[in-house]
Amino acid sequence: MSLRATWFFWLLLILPLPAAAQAIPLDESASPRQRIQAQADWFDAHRSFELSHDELNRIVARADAVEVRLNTAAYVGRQARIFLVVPAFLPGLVSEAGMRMSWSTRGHFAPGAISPGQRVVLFSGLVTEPEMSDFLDLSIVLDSRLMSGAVNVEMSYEIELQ
Amino acid sequence: MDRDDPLMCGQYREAVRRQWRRTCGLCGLGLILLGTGGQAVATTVVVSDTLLPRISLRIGSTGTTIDTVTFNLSPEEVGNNIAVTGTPSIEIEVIAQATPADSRLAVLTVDSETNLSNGTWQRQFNQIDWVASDGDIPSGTFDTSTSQVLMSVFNSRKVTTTHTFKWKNTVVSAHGQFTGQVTYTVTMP
Repeated sequence: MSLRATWFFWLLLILPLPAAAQAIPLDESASPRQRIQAQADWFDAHRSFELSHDELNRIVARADAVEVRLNTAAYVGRQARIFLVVPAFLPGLVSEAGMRMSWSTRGHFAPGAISPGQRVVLFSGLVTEPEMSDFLDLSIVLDSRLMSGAVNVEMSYEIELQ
Repeated sequence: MDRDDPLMCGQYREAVRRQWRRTCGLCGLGLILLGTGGQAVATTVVVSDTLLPRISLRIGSTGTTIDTVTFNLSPEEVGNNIAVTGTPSIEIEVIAQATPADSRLAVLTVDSETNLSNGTWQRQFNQIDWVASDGDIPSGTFDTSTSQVLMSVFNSRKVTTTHTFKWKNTVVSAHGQFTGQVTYTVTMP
């Protein structure tokens, strides 16, 4: 290998991959509440005689107006996708099948639903502001048979430049 | 470039130095780019695992209706040891809801202490037994106690069983209409 080729090889190793191929964690430290207690109740408690066995074990929790503020200052002017990420392992849940969370939004972000171990697109387009924010109304459905304690649904955000 | 050529050796070293400076500059740029990812802080939504436990019980019709089971015997049939089936059959449904973290035992009992009566004469409820449509709330006989245990379930379950009642017809009773009432109760302490 010539010296020039050797330098080029080391250069490839040292240089970071192009940003477009990376999912970059987004800073959301500006969000006002980082730990939220959801209001939980039995699924459709008013018509329990009509429910199936699975439905009887179902818990529905709500957390309204969860404000999310994402620091996108470094990506203004770039085409990007922003993802909501929930890890596969959630404290208090013994199986990924035990939780499904859906949300509606009030502004920038798209509504959607997510299970543990998934990431779902919240935003796709041109980043125009140094901070992107929205309010999420969360609905979390849990199977009480798959809970080992209070469930901690951890949400984080990633950006992928295009 | 020929590295063995003494005339070219100085130029070669200078070229290497320039290349190194260029590479270092690019490395520095790479490190700066890696450093722009920012600090990620996760939001955590906490869902409690101790909800208020719930129980529901339905005996026959919904609401406040008290269903009546009727046994019709002709005077010749009374006390002939041939059981008489009552109508209608009664569906019993028990629902208990509690999380595993807050495990509860729901117990279904029946009070059949008060006798059947025609105003003058009385007959005990142990003259009535029932056949269950399945084993969830099994077949049995009223034992005339205030708290006869019929079944128990843990945590969140729904149990639905139909009971068909039978008058054993093993005793000779006075003529007339005997009436009485049993009361089912579900508890989940």
